[in-house]
Amino acid sequence: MSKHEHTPSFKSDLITFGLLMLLTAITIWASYATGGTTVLAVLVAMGIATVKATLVVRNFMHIKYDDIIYKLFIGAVIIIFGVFITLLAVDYFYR
Amino acid sequence: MAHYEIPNSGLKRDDEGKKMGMWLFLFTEVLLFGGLFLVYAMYRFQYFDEFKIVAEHMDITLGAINTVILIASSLTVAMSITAMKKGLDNVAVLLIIITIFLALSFMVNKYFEWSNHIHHGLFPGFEAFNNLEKGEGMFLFLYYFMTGLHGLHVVVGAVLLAIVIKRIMLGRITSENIVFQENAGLYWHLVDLIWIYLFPLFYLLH
Amino acid sequence: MTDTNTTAMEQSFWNEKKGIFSWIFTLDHKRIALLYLYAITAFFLVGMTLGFLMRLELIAPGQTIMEATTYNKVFTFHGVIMIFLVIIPSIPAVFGNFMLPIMLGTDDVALPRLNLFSWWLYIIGASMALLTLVYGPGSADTGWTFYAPYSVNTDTNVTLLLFAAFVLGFSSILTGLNFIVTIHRLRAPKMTWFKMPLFAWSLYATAWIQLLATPIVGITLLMVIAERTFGIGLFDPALGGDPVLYQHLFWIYSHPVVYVMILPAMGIISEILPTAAQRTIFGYKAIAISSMAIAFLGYFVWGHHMFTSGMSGEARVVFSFVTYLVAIPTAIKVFNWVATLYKGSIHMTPNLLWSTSFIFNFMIGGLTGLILGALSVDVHVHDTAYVVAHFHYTMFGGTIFVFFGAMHYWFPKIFGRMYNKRLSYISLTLTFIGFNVTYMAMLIVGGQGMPRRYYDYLPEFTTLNQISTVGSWVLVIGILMMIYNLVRSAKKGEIATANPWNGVTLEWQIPSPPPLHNFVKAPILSDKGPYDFSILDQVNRENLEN
Repeated sequence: MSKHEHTPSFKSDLITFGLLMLLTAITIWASYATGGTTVLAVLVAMGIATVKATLVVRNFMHIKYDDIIYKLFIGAVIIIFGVFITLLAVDYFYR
Repeated sequence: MAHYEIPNSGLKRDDEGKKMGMWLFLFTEVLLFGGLFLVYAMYRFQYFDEFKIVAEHMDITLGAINTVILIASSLTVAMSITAMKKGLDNVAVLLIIITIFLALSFMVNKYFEWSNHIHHGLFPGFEAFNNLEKGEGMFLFLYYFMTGLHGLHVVVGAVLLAIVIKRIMLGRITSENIVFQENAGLYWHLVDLIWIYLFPLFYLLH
Repeated sequence: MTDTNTTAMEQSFWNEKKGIFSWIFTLDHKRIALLYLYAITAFFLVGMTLGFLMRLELIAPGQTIMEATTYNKVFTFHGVIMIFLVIIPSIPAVFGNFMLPIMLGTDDVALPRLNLFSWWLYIIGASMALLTLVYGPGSADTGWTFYAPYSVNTDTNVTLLLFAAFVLGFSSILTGLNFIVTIHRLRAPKMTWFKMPLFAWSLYATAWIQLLATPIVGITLLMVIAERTFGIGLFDPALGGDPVLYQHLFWIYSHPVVYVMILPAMGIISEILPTAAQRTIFGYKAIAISSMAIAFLGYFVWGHHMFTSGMSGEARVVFSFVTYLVAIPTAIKVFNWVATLYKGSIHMTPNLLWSTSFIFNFMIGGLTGLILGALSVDVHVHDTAYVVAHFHYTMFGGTIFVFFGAMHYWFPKIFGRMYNKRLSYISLTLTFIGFNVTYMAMLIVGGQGMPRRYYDYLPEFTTLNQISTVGSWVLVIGILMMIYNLVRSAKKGEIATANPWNGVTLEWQIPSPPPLHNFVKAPILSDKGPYDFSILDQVNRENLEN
């Protein structure tokens, strides 16, 4: 397997950090703006957290340079966890 | 007997294999916390009002400071790997020292937060905790359990990073042989990832 | 012939190094596999004795040889030992460790030190589990499922046992992790995914379940420990917890884990049958993909253990429906095995008979599983001996039978000696008859309404229970005879050739027992996949030259 050569740079690390800081600020602001515990608030908070998590995984954990198989792995894990939470919700939502 | 060298030997150095092993281990860690997130989600649904009442008392400022600290430490770890790949060993060591320092300040911050709660008797076994509504105690205990387990991971990650420093000093991690540092970095980023979800769940949904 | 094999013996992994430390700190996958084999055999004998005693208690209504509380402890420990210490690690840790690297054409797993660490975790976890018997307030009486709130409130030694299960879980996770990396990284050149032996495929599917399902139960057990330690109500309804949530989390792991137990067994059947019939497997891709499909669908169906626990009606219907889907890939496998034997040139061997016994038992186990998966029926037979019998038909008649069959298949490869075939046929017959008498009677009496986990029963169930108990005697005699045969033959059996069954997968292309690094020359890989018997002559010629 040939490794795609990439030149790491401090600059891209710092840009990622800047974006994460910005998103942190937004999510704190949004928690007040959306009223804390509305459905919208939960969706916004989890949505922003997921964007942040994607940034960390892609840029800091170098998934963007890695083999496609790692993306498939991560996709599988997300699907499995999604199955757990969906089926649990089917029980709790209708109980 | 003719000597045959196994081309796909398991005893040869295989950085890609080690990295894959680390990723798979991270998946296990994610699902370990995943079980807790499932519990949190179901009880949040069941005890909606009680969770809200306790969440209002959480200190967003402290939580936000810890978020900034962890994201900054993720940055320094990522930069230390970048530095190491460029052959800047001393810069890499310095960056990891900063990371460990950030990890310590995270734990100190956490200590003050916990001891503040405990000071008010909000810990299992204390009068004030026992007088709480059922769902309120649930929120607090999940908070202790999840941030406690997360804190344990912070400590383990910091120890791993200390080992990285030692190995760089000994020349066992070089720009050509960096997989141990990368794996320690992956572990550290996982600690950050978990916190990215813990922060809104315990502090922001109030 | 004997001479070449003697030299092979001298260079084998058995003789490479001596002394206890060369075993318990070894990095060699073959030695680690044997360490597991010895430990698992010992625990199996303990678990079997407990099961035997339970059957003895049930020979007559009322108290016979033990009190109700003792009976509770005995079935708890029988379950814990058989599930966590025997069946879960059995095939992956023993035959997976031994055969996977050889079948892939390499000399070790990808992470040998992690492999040794897994074994140590297993031993530590097992020791902790055993410690609960002698230390503290008495061994646990919760059943192996540790259902809350009883596991939270009981005074017995549950905390340590839960932690033991947690540690054993991590042993299992790390073994699975190692296999995934091994299969991704260490396949022989030219061995593409669809040229891997099917046992490797089944281990791959298994490993993903171990990796992704085990941590859920791990954290759940930790939560119960925390609940016991801090007196807090995570699952205890008296303190605001939800006991059904415990069951959800427990079965999110424990249903997929029954596929951890059965999938590797199915993989071994897919190895034995082509060799026995001397023809390529029927439907290679279908079997390989159905393994992955079972592993995936296994995550959707855990709720069928909880039909009577108070889940919502909607959830019960969904879980019942999805349960039926699992039958599809399972049936695909069974049909392909039978088709493999069709018009093959079948050679009668003990391992073939173990495999066909498995198919027989597993069909009963699988079809009763469909009956239990039907929501309306399950409500009636839930928590009866019917469920116990179904479970033993799949796990004992399934996994353990294949474990024994694999032992007879790979025994000459591992030990370099052949067992007494006559004795092995006799022991197999006794085991098969004893097994079916024991559990068929249990299945019927369960259908009639005898509840599980009781040390007592109504007088009308007496006859069937006595038949079942007598069956268990035959079963135990058969198993002991088999173990005697194998233990004796490991030392004194006839010297075995490199390829006694005329197989073509890679483990039959190396000396018996294997040398330290497995391969002394490049293995022969057919372009037509792992079960291409046209290379058999070439394989046997090469073997003679060794």
